[in-house]
Amino acid sequence: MKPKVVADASSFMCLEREPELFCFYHELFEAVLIPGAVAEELVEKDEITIIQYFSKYHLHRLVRVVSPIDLVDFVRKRIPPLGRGESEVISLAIREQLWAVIEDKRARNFANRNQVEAANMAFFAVDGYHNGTLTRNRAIEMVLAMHRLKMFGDVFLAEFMKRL
Amino acid sequence: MLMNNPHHNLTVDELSKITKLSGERLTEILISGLYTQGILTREAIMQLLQQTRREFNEMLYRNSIPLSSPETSEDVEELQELFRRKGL
Repeated sequence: MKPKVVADASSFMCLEREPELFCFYHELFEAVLIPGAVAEELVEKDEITIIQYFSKYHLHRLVRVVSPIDLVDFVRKRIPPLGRGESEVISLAIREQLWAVIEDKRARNFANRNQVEAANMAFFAVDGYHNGTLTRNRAIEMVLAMHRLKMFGDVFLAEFMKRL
Repeated sequence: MLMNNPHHNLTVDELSKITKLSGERLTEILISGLYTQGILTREAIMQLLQQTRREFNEMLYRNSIPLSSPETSEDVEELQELFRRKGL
């Protein structure tokens, strides 16, 4: 069964360089929630609406913007150094009791140390393969793409490939 | 502090190597320092950090800049713990 997740701006921004990879969101997730601060980060420089942004990548039915978000206390105390988008993602993940998709290692580790389950897209690809929602070839394709896009290094690549 | 020690002419890259912190993290610390010393309001700090974060996002994710620090053994342990939680 595909999970419903909360997502940070990082993986979307990263995939803008290889837009054909956006279809992985459909293959991996049942639904994707993003907080308002993430929506702002995604469209800030393009002068388009968030619906136009996701329509461009055929994700407008999959992604839903949730706003406003009440920041949880332990997150509020960590601004700085956490960014607004990351803070809202973590708070929304707690509220909805969902996993979070975060590419930034520091923010992801902070989330995991605070009982919020957060992982990057490559992790969800490996999980998708084991859950039967993604073929092995597709999972490998996703992991290699994120490595090529420099979202993680060789050490993590080895960890992902061990499980595929 | 930097003004009173022999490292006062350091570049960001050199300071990053000494402190093992990324340029982005150093910027955040410097901005945070302005808040803790009462020079800027929390609102101003938030605004600056948001701007920094957006510029960082642009640089890192939209322009394929490698992540600033390679994965440490602690990072790998975090990842393995996540896999364990998923039963993988």
